[in-house]
Amino acid sequence: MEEFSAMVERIAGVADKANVNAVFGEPKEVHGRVLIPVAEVSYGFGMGWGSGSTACTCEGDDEACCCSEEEAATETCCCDEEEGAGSGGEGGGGGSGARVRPLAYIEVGPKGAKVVPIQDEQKIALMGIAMGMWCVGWIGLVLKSLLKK
Amino acid sequence: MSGISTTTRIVAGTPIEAGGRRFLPSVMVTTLEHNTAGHIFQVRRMRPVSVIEEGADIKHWHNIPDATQNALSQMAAVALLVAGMGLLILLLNRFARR
Repeated sequence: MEEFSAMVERIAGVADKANVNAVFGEPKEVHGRVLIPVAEVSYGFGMGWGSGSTACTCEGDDEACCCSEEEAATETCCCDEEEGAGSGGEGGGGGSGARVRPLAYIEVGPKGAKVVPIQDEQKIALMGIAMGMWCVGWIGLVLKSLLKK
Repeated sequence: MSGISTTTRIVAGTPIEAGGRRFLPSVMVTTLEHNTAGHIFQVRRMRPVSVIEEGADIKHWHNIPDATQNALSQMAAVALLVAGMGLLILLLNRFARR
């Protein structure tokens, strides 16, 4: 279970770092201007764990094998060690991830501050190509329908 | 799915001092979480909303736009409009031929 506890602590560490103050970065001076980076921060984590045990079963007249119901729930009560009856186990797993997407930066000058948005041009270009194909498809469909005799 | 909760709230961040001014940021935090015995998950999204600029004698409110999302939304709206117009023309054409 030590590994599992370590994993939980590591995941909790990721969540702590991705707090509200991670959205606005530290002010930086670039070429005489003060810039404050602004980003959208998302994170997620999930984990699961469980344990189980195999209860003993008493078969035949083997008195030594029998145990009470309370004992049967524990892994120490074992009728047949060779077959592993009465053994128990536990395990867990999990994962986490975080994403930071730059949105804008705040430029602080002598006349005041202004917010300069940042565009993801690759995403916009891909969407533009998809939209162009969509429009061409629709126009083609309409023309085909209109010109059909 | 019971046990899944979603919350959205506006949270004030730590004030930032820069260029002789003070900036008060605000962030929209959306949380989706599920917590039961045996499993737990949490997804959190933190989106900047605005920042208030405070100077010696000024106080400005700056909105922080999501330019990429706005551009994508506009394109999606145009795509829907094109599809709607196309569908309308096709239907009108079908009625006209009857």
